[in-house]
Amino acid sequence: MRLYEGRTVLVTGGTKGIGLATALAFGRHGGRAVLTHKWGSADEDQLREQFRRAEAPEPLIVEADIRSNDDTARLFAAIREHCGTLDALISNASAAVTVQSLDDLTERGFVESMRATVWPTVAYLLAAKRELGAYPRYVVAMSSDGPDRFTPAYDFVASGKAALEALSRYLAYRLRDDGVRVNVLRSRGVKTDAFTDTFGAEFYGFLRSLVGDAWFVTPEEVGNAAFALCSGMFDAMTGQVVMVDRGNTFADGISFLYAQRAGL
Amino acid sequence: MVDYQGRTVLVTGGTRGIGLAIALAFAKRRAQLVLTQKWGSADPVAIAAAFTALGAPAPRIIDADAARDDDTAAVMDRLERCDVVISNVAFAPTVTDLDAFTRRGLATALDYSAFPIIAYTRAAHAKFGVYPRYVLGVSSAGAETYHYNYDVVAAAKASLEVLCKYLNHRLRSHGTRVNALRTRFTSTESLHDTMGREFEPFVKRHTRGLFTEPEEIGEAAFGLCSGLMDGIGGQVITVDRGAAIGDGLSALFDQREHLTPIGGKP
Repeated sequence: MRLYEGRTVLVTGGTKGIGLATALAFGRHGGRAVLTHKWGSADEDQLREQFRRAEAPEPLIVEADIRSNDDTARLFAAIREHCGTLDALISNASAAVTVQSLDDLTERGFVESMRATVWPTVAYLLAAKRELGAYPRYVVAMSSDGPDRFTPAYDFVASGKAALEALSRYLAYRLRDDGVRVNVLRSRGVKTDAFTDTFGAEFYGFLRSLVGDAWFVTPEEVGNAAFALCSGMFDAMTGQVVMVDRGNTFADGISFLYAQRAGL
Repeated sequence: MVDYQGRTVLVTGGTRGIGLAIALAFAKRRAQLVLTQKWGSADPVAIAAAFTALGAPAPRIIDADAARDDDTAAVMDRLERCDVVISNVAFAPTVTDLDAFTRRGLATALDYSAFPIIAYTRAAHAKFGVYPRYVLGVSSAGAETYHYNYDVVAAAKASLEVLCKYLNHRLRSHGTRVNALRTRFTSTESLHDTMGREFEPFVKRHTRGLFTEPEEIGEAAFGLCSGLMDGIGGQVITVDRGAAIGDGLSALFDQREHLTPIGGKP
């Protein structure tokens, strides 16, 4: 029997990129995935075909804006009806205002960005308890290295991710007696639609001129790591922030380019 | 979920404590285990029995001093392949005060607890022409925060963690993933040797949830080498049940109604 047979995973923003790869990783191990998306941004037939090819259970696809309490209530009612319980929550979707210069730093942009980056993880956890009667056993929130280092346009996203990481540690502490594991996966340089939306195609071209294609991390690598954290093998891990970048961030800097200079 | 049949896993200091628990986690997935030991305190019959109980083949136990290159080469000479290196062994003098620090003690600590991850990885390449697919250093929270009498071990562990990052960087084009696992408190001989016999009962009397079972660390070590975590390289992963978040005066205060107080009332 596959490890996640009969179990359910909820992946916010699960119809594309890292979210989809994560849902497929669970699906390959028998897990039923609930995928959320916003504004009809999903080709459901094409999605279902991907799950079929992965020999994964058919996903439940729900339109739900992570910022809307009504949508959250509707989503969990649907999970209760179709799945009964929730074993893992992958809090992947986030939304934030991009910042090009100091003029873009507005209070409204900040508050909205924080709300849409930090709060959904907490809101969904509370909704699971309220609507399903129990917390999911595993929570994985998606973050990036943005809080530590300058990333273009990323001011508000990075602030939100920093808060999300801090809050995840506190959630891990508060939920330790409930047997809930809360961890954060950081990734960077994953070539997805969100990457191009946030940074623009020019940034991608710039990176490609300096590093090979192999430098980019794949959505599957992040998805597999998320699944591993929920597999039972990492039950002694909670409240941790783990980077999925094959070591890219460690070597990112002028020293790395200097070492590579002959090939540039 | 992942089958290690046909693959060989080398665990330095693998006959006791965390090293043995990691070895058993791989054995459960049918790996062939090679355990090194120096001091020979392990009972090979009991160890073999632990493997047999899992339906796993008995491990090979080889005497080897982790600080001696000729021993390291001799270990590799006895293997047919080496897919995973778990650099677990640590040895360092315990430091009780500043005067107990010695230049030589620090050098010894680095020699036994940090350099072997380089030495074993290189020796595997020298013998087989390929690097192990996974290399894992067993570190400890002491590399970052104060641990009782841990000064010199901590320095060696910090060094081990940095070496893991560089090793990962240098070997990434070979497809090798190098990471470090950070543990906190586990009830092992090594903990008692370093902290003394009174430490564990003290911690358990006045706190809760700060100890991790060796088996849990073994599972995480295996998880990092399972293929699912191939996106992770050059990282230091803490496996402590969240203890680091809940170890400190603030957490003691938070749980004061449920814990045995330390010292007298103010």
